[in-house]
Amino acid sequence: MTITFEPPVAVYSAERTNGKKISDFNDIIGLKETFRADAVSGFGPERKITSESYTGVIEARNPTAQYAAYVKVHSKWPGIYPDLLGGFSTDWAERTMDDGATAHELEDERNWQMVLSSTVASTGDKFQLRVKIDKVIASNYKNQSTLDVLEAFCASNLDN
Amino acid sequence: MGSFNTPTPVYSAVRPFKNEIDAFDTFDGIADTLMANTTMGLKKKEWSSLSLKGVKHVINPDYEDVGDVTILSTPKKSDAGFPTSSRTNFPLIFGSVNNQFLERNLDDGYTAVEDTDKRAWSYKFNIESAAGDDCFLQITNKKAVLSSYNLPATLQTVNTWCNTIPAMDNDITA
Repeated sequence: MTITFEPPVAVYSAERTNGKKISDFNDIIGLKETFRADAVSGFGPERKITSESYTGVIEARNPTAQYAAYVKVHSKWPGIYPDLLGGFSTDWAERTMDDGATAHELEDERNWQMVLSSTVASTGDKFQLRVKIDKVIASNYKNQSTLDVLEAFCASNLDN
Repeated sequence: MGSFNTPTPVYSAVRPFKNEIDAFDTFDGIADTLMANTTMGLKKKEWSSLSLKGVKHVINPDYEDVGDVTILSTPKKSDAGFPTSSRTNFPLIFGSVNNQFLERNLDDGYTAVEDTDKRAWSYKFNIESAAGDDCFLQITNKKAVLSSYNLPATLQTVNTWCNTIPAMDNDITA
């Protein structure tokens, strides 16, 4: 008997630039509930947030505006990230260094991302959607029609 | 007919410390000791780079690791002089990420714990020996590295100086 491979299975990935960069932390966090509650895109009932990662960088300067240090905050817990990052404020810099010391976020260094996972209900095709500040990456799907579903979801929620 | 001239060897050597330097003041003080040194007869002692890094884990009241804070100070060479501001402020800033800071910004019971494996303190000086050997001496919290030197005598000179610093307690191995 000849043993041979089964027909190959293709798995796709595609990238989409957000119409507008996500600048409000509540917007990216809110997307989790939007995803879970979505009733129009045709996602399957099981919807997971399979990973979250939030990073922000604060630059601290002393009263003569000399560079002092970078403070990098990273958390997988959205519930504490804003309070933790926000704790490194000018108040903190003045208390820690001297009056007049400042701290401000380097917004270009922000890296917020989460992975939404589910299926397309009509086909059962699994997918993952990695949401970042400036783009989303759809991956692990097998039906090209899944991308149309994800495109509609992103157009409704990420281009405002 | 052209030919290469006599090749010039360029060496580097590492002096690992038997024990990592735990106290920032001790580490920082070595730089001052080097700058003040006259016994080596160095013609040049200029700072080339400085990088101070520390990481603290944030632990919630349920003892879960919920985040980390990295403090990194890497002043630019264009700053005038050996960067006093960064050397002074790094321990203050790092030390301020403490339990009080977390309790003030999060809730009672949050704690901050340093990840000492991620501690990385380093400065590098461009030095020139009395014999004109232009090279670099890097000192970290774990080792000293002499690089880009041409003369074995330069290593001997630096090694002798290192032997006078208690925190640098192993011989350089080429």
